[in-house]
Amino acid sequence: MILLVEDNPDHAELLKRSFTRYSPDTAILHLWDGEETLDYLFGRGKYALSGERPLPDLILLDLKLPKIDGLQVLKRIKAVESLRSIPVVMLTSSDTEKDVLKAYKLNVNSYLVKPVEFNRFLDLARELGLYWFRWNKRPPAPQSFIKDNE
Amino acid sequence: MVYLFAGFLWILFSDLLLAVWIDDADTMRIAQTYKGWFFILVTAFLLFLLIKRSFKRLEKTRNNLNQTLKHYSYLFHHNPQPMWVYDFESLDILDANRAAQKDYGYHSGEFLTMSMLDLIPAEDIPSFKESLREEGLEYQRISGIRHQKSDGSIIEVEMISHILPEYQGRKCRMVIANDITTRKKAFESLKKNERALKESERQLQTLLSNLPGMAYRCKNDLFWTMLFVSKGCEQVVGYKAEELENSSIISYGKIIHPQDRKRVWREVQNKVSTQRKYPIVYRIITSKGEVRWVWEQAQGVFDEEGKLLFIEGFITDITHQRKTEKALKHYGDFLRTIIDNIPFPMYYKDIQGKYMGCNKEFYRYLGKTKEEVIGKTVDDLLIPSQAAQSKAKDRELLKTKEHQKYETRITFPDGKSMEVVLHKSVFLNEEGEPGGIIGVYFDISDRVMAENIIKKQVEELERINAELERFTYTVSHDLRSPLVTIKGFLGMLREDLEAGNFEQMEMDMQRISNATDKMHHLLEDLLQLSRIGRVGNPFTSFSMNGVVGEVLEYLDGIIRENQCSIEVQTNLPVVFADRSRIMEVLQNLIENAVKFKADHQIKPHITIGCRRELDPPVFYVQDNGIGIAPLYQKKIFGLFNKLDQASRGTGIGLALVQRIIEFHGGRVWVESEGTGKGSRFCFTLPGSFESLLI
Repeated sequence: MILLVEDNPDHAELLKRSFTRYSPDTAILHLWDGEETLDYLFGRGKYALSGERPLPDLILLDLKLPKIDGLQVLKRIKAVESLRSIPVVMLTSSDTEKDVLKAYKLNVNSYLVKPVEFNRFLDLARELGLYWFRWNKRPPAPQSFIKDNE
Repeated sequence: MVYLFAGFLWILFSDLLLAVWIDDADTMRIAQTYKGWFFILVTAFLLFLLIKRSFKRLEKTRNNLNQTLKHYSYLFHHNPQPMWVYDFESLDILDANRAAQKDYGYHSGEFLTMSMLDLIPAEDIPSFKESLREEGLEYQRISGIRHQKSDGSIIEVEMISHILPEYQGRKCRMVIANDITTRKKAFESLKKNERALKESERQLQTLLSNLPGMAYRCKNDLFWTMLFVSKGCEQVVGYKAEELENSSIISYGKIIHPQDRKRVWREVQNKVSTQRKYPIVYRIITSKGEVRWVWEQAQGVFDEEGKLLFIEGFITDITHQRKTEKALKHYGDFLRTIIDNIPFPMYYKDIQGKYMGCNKEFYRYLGKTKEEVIGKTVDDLLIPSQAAQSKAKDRELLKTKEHQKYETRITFPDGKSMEVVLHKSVFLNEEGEPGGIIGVYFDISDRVMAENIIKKQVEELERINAELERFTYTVSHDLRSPLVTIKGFLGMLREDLEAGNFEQMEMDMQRISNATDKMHHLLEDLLQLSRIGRVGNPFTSFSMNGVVGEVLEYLDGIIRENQCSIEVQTNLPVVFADRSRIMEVLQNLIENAVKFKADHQIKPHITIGCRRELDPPVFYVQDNGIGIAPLYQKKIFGLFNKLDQASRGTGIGLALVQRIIEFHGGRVWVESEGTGKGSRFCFTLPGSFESLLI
């Protein structure tokens, strides 16, 4: 399962469509902002009572998010033992060096810039799926969800 | 003899006479009997007279003897010299006179129980006994003998003694003791004085010959004829004492430099009459023709009638000192010139903090005269708080003696003030102890002012930079973002077209259209933002009510659309500001209030008003909308910061509001108890007055 964190509905739509084209089996969970993402991962807020919350195999994280931005979310994920092994890929329209550096300092697994050209966008979606789900050996899935113990 | 002769004559002639007168034998016998009785009577009478006379003489002699005895006893007992008699063998004192009793402190009874040994200090007894062997001498005079008085004190005596061959049947010596302690002391001190006198004479001689100059006595004449000159004169003038004395070779008057002779004469005549010491400085020409400066101190010697006898004084060569002095003075002047020409205010003050001196720049800098500075303290120059600080620093400096450097502001009582760097050091006096403080000001008012300006500019620049960074970031992100959308959905559109999926096409085209709208808004807002501070309108006085009315009219469309109820306080204050900008502020705030509804069920209600009780008055736009969590209440004013990405805004509106209000010198903030609790956006404007309508 891919967790897609994207505040722009158009981009989310584009990504979802491109992904399902090449990896139709991959489930995508789309969340809108940083706060909601952390709530989901830590089982808080509106996710406090929901039972079934599978951990994602991959997190696609936009950089600029309302309320809590992408880097903050990344930092929180990598600070927690049980979430640290989940690959996090920044997927953003910013190619600022500073952002790239910051993300890598916070132990991001990959940093991708959304291409403007449609064909390249499709290539990215395809290769992203191939790389992470075909070639990449993923760590064993965490045993259970953590709850309220950031 | 007379009696014998008379008797003989009587015997010879009486019978003859009787034979002449009387012839009868009886008568003769009777006459013989009577003549015999008569002779016996006459003889008896004469004998009686004789004996009586002898008795009288005897009595007189005895009286005379008694008188003599008493006389001699007086001579012994009342003799002012202590005297006593002691037994030659037992050494017992047999008699002692009053002077002895008095001088030795014993009374007569005591003396008679004492022995000679009681008068001798224990340590001298052996030598005393030794001297007894020579007792055979009839007359003895021994000096330097020590005797002990009854109180234990020791006196030194000269003992004169004489043998008394027979005294109360014993062989004795009579002693006269002369206390020579005081005499000896007096003698010693006399000797000492004599030695001291000789020593001081010698010293005077040594002194005179070793003086770095010449002592003299001279007549008060034009030649200054020398009566006495000490040996030192050779060093001073190059002539020997005897060449100068009585002007035998040269007179002192000729030694004085020709140009100074008249002056010296005048000065001496003026001063000598005062009968006091006077100094005088002039030039001389030595035997080798050298010109030298001399210093002389002299005084006239006068007789009882006040007539000047001669002048005594001392002359020394001060050529070297004078040269040094001149050099020193020159050096001092040189330093003074340097210090006065240093373009920094400098001063020095004593340990008590009194200004002793300063350079010209100091007076100029402080705008003070010499009288206003010298002898004054920092209390007289600066305001009390700074004077106190300065004094505390001075105390610290005098304690540590380490160079001080600090920045401070100096403010004068008239309000004038400067920023300076102060350098302070301790200087030492002749004894090597701290003599005071030297201080130098470096005016840094310009620097501080420039620094302040730079600081402000740097802050402004940093702010602009941060904004610019965010701006470029946004341009690369937020402007890119719609491009990605447009390009992406154009691609999708092509696929839809190929697939003949028209329904999808409609939706995708809508997305493209929305993205271009978004871009358009973003560019518009950015343009507007860039105008603030750059493109401005002149400030005018206007009523806030008027502006609010206009804005509401402009927003009438969305207000109706959202079924908003709006309440506006009447009599809002009049403000002095850029009217069209204030309109933009209100437009943004009211639009937000309308836009961010809490719930679709609840109709928006907006209040626009002013809290006049506050200073400055606070304008506000209050709604019952979604509210803002405290965490984000600052963030929302940041450029391009949006809490809800789905909202139509560009993230510029509130940044724009903040910019405009800050450009007017006011402040903007939001008050909200949290999500769903509504918000109140507040701002102040410095140029707002009470409404003229009230």
